[in-house]
Amino acid sequence: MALTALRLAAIAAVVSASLAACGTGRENPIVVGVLDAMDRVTDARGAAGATTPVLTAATVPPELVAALPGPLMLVELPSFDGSTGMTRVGQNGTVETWRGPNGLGLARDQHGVLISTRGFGFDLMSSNTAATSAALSARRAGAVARAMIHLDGEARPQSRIYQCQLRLDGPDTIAIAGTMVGLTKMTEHCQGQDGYRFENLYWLDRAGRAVHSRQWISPEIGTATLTLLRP
Amino acid sequence: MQRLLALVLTGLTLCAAGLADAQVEQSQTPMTRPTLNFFGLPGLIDTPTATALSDGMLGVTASRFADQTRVTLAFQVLPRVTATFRYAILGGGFTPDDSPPAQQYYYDRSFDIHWLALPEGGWWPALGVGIRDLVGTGIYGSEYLVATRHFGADDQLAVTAGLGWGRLGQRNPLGQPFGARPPIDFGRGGSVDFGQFFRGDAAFFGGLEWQATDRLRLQVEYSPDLYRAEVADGLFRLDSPINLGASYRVGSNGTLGLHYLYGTTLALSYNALIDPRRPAANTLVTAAPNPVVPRPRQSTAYSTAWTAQPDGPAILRDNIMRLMAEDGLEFVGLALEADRAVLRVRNTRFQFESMALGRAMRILSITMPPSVEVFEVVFVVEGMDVSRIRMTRSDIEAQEHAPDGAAQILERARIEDATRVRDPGLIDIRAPEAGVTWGIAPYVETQLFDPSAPVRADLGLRADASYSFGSGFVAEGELRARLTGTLDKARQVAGPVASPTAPFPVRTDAYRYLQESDVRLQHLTLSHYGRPARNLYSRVSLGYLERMYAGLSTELLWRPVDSRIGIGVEVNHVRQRAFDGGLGLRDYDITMGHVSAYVDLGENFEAQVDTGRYLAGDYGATLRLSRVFGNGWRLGAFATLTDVSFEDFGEGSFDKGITLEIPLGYIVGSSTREQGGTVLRPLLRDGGATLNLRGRLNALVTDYHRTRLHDTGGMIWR
Repeated sequence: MALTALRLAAIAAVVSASLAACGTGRENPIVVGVLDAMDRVTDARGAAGATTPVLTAATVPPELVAALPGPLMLVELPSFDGSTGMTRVGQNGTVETWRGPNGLGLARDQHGVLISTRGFGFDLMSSNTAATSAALSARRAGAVARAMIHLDGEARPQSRIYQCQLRLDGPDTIAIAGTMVGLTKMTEHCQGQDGYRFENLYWLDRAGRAVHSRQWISPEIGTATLTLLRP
Repeated sequence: MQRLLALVLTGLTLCAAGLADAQVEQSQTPMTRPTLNFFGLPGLIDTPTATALSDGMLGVTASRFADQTRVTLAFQVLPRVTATFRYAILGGGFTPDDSPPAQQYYYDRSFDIHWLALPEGGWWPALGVGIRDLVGTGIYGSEYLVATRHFGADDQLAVTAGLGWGRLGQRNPLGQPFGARPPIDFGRGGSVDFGQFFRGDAAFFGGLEWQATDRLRLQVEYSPDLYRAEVADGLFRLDSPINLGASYRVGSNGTLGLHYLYGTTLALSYNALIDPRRPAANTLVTAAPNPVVPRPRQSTAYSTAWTAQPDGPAILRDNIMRLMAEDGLEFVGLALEADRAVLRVRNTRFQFESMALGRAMRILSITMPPSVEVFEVVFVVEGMDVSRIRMTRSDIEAQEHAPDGAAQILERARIEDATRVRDPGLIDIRAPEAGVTWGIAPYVETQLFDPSAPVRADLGLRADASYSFGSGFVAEGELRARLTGTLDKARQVAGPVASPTAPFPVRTDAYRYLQESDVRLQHLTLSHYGRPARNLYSRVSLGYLERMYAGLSTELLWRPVDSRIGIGVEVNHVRQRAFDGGLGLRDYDITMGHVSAYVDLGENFEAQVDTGRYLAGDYGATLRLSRVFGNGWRLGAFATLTDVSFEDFGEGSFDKGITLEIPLGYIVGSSTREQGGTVLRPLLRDGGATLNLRGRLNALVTDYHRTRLHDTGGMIWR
């Protein structure tokens, strides 16, 4: 809240030109700033005063899944204190594009490995995860390398190579929409040249697809948990 | 009053802290993040050190002691060059010399430059050279040579020693190595007084800085500054040359300092570092784009039967317009043949121009029949077709998810002048060109760091309307009604210049416009923008061009789409407007204009040289240098020299200043092309004055030229 006030003050201090607030013209910086700040406040209140618990893979009601048409994925975002449903909106080669109702989107390959995100802000722009994907589908432990591309503050692409170790954890049973599902769990430990570490978890079905997974997006966003509710 | 001013200024600094706090923390040692001293330069408390900020960083500081408040803005222009603008408020009837005080507070503006001549390495220390108060009135005038060496495993201890001149050469001088210092000429100020630099008494200064904990730093220094003028006016007393300080880092980039100065006085300081390259908000949270829709693979050629479908054009247009509205892009036109599509787009939303390009291309991939293999996007600005970007649909399909797809797709794209090739003529759909836009909104108008007051501002309501006639003709107007504020307190600071050869008061009268109009016509013009030939852009504006002048303005710009150089010619005939902001005119009129050269120097530096005749009829040239960041931040400096003599110009000697532009998206974190900006001038006077025109061509069109599209290329698939 204090930060919001400061941000508003910063906007007022910086912006002395202004454009239409009502009318057909373009956005007014003052108005944009105020709306932006209000959004943040209501978001914070909503998160604090929420009475309904955040949906997870285990708690998503089967009736809800049945009621929604088409391919369906649940995306849990710890850094946003929430979760969202997404549906498949595109397919280009082996890459599927998914999108939620709130402007969030992501792309993953045919084995469920995350390739990119959109609408998160500090997005994962693109990746080369071919080695991980091939090893997962064969349930093969061992060393794999992956490249992930993020943007710096000047919007210039920064590509980083991560050296990863895939471990086969074995059979694991997890709850998805009220049903216990038997899957195979694999863990991927990654480390970048700069020493940055993250860990991805995958629960694979017989076809070698990650039905449920927890995958890293970016230093600022952290991880997302993806659960395929209906392919 | 003094307290209020200090509060307002500190408030502005805190705003900067608000920006800084949201930034992600970086490793900070005394070496990578030096302390900023009371002058706003790398240093201890009152003395400098041989260190530098990280390249491109901005530092904002505020300090207060003994009825003196200093606010500074430092910028690391180059990896080893720091420049600082400082605004000081001295109370207690201070004057720099024996003259009686003209007003309660003395306001001083000054610029410093600091050069890290040799960075630390091996066994040798870093060496720095600096000049304080380069072009001001000289009250902080001093120069120094300084050496700093860091010790300890994490460089925790910094030892500094140096030799100072001017204010830094006052206590226990060691002699005059470069001869005597001529007396300060307070008269005009504003010109670089080379005769003074490194002259007169030189004295030793030095100190220690210790990084005690992760956030706490302790400083002790020996300062040879005797504060002669301040002591003479009773502001301040010195018992010792030793200053002590403790600074504590608050948040990731703010620092609070408590200091004990010269054995008598407590001081408070605050500073914040801002990295223009790290956005304040979660960067650009814009809804995910529509994905590329690849065509079904087939071995035979795609059917072109759609070209004969009677309702085809209408369906294509409706689909495109719906998707473009979703993305916030404006549809201007679509020209089609069986294998090629040209989409004309007006981008009023995306600050990163390549983001608009990527979204327009994806919309084509969703809507175009499979036989269309070549996609072209033409960016339209003020009715002018600026650039044409051509991609093949196969590349778009192949690069959407490729690891280096952003670089690849731009590599394969062709960026050329929009007028270079003809559009396909089979289907041609245009959005209606004629149309009105209007709006009513609040406005804030500020005057910062004026020589007579640190902050003045007005709040009011503005109404604007614009009507496009088509074919590049636009009528625009804006009315402003001031509700409240202090801008009408602005007055002419230094008074008119008495000399008979002084220029006509073309700008020093600005205060009368502020005083004598509560409701005013801000501007009202009829303009035409056009493309007379390849690489050429033109503008003609007629009417009330700006607050103070009305008339005719014409401009022609040569700038190829892939050129680092542009040449512009601007010729205006204007008459001064009445003070009351109405339609009336005054007697003064002038024909003036410039030839301008625009040069992209590479490494994110741009230069502009204007040569010609200025508003008062004086002849001369303006040099502008700017550092441009990929995210739209722009910091620059300019200076104008004309045949108006320094005496006739008056205080300041010649026109100069610094400019700062910050994209609004950097602060709010959503896609918008709006930006805030400010020009800081020591003084606005009549020599070297130009028109404040809207819609100058170079800035409008280069946004869609090759350099900018490549600079923002990382956003193309965003």
